[in-house]
Amino acid sequence: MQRRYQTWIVAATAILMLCEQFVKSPGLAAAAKEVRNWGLIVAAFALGLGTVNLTMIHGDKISKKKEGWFNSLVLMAGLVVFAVTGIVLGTSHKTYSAMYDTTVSPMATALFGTLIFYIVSAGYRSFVIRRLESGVILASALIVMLAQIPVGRMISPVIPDAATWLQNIPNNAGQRGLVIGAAVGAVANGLRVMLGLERNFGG
Amino acid sequence: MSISSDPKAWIAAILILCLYSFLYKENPVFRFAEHLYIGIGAGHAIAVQWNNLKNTAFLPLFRGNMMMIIPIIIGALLYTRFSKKYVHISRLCLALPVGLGIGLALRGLPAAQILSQIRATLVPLNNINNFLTVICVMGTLSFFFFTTKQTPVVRGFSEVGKWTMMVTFGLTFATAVFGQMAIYLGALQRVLGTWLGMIK
Amino acid sequence: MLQKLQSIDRRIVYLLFFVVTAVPFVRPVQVPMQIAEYTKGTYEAMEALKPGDFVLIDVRFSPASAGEMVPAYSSMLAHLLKKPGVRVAWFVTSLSGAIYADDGIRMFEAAGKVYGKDIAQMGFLAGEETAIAAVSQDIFKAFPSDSRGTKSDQLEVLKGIKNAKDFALVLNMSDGGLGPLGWVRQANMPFGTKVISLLSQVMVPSAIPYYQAKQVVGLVSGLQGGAEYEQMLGTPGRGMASMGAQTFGHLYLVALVILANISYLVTRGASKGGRVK
Repeated sequence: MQRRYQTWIVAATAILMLCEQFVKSPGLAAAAKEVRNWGLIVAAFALGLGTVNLTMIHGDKISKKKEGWFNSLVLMAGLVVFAVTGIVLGTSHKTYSAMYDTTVSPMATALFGTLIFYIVSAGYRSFVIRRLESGVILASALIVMLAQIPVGRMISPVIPDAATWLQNIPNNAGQRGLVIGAAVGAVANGLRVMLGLERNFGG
Repeated sequence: MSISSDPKAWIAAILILCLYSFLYKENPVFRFAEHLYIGIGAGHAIAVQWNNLKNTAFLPLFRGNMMMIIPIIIGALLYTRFSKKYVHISRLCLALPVGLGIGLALRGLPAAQILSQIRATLVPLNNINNFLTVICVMGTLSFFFFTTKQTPVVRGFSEVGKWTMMVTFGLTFATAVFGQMAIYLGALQRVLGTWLGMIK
Repeated sequence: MLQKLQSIDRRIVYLLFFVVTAVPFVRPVQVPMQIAEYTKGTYEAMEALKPGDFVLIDVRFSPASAGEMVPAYSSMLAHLLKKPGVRVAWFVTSLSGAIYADDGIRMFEAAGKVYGKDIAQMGFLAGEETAIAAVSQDIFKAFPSDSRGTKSDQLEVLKGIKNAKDFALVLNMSDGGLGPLGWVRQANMPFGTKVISLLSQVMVPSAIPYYQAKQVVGLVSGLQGGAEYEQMLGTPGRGMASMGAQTFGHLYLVALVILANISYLVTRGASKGGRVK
């Protein structure tokens, strides 16, 4: 029964959004705007779900002094300091911005900046041409990479032109096919959810 | 080389080096920095969430818009997710943003992603590039026809689609490398530039 | 020897990569650049702005990709500053975007723009496409007040603006998520709004179809696009300075891949019947 109510709510809100587009009615437009703003507020509430889960897991680790509890304490300390500062001062405040820029920005950059090392290492160990398909992937990647650096032009003036052609013709065509295919799939999946045939989204 | 005396530069550089130490091997220093990052990220999410709700829900409510009570209650009920007894309520609350997302996507998607892209593909077949574009788009679409009879024509187009997608993936890989390189250079700037003062 | 090379410790590979990128970073090398057509499209769209035009900036990137996005972001803001009388409002659809929106506000205020009259930071909205749809349909309904708590209808910068039809340009800055697609679906298709996207480089190939279909008037591709934009503006900055390091980093990776394939082919050829040295 719960699943049915869930499906009805999904279908009703989706149909309201669709009707707003195709049925010109001031009442309908006002209702749609209101419901849409409700959605924004509900989505904002949803942001805290992850934090609550994190707090439960790490709070349990700290209270029971499980392995790694000190790191969990560090996590909770960071969470509390930033949450309280951000709420009291506001996230636009100079002090908060400075705190953020000193900690989060460099750490995020560093964490994601390690990926290039793994790509370099994989380039050396794994990017070998074992089949024709992987050869085509590698060849197109190498042409585009060489085109971006002066060495490419030095090797052959054809390389930059080839890279541009690859981008504008096969890549564009392939991406377009993927976009159209994904869009058709999204329409089908959306309809499945609205009709209650897809049950996995509720968690 | 002039090492910065700004404590913020030192803290940022030390945190970067803590995280990069993982490249040597996993170690406690890395785990400390990693946990700190996750905690601060979560704290920032709370701060942003609070300020957002304050401006979009609570302030309008206090200024007289009583309709705001409805989404506030729905949003608050999302947290019943953590109760075994009332978890079904959170699923009902989740249905609202899911329905909105589906409705908004469905109304924009056919025009933006299907019709416009098909229209852009309908080019005059007066040169080899246009001809290739049309064939490659049809080929890519044919590749995903799993439920049609695999006639020689469909298989032929699928084959064209396969090779087209190989080129697409190659380009995606190349641009991913550019992007990751740029992110790494951002970290390098912080350490070599801002902290050690080696970059002019 | 080739087999030894194939089993080299990855940390040596990392160290060499660091050296190859750090040296040209510390001693910048000028690298000739070809400006992409879609970057020129962005520049031209920004140049075409007239006094009184309203520009909405959607900041959707995180600190992780700041190294990639900030050079182009700063250049585009500098370009906007050069256009007299253009009104600019930021809004944010990612948790960390507000930091960069506030940086933009500070940059404009330092150049003499007045908050509330020329610029405004509307704040964060959750739910990417829902937020875009809400703003495109009715900006006042989506933002009853700005990030500083001022009622939106009291902001002079929003005077005469109701929905996406009144936006002269939307600048979408994304390192993930929908990219320009949300704006194409909710603003460009229904209202004909011009959209420009600054994207992380990995997202650009998938955005090309929208540019080719003229649903997006311009794209800027990460750090490379930032360097191109700096070149067009004539204001060299971190984008251009990073190109030398980028070049050598790519060269190193290309050399590694070629070396790996040569050693694979040689060792495979040897094990198939030739002599193993």
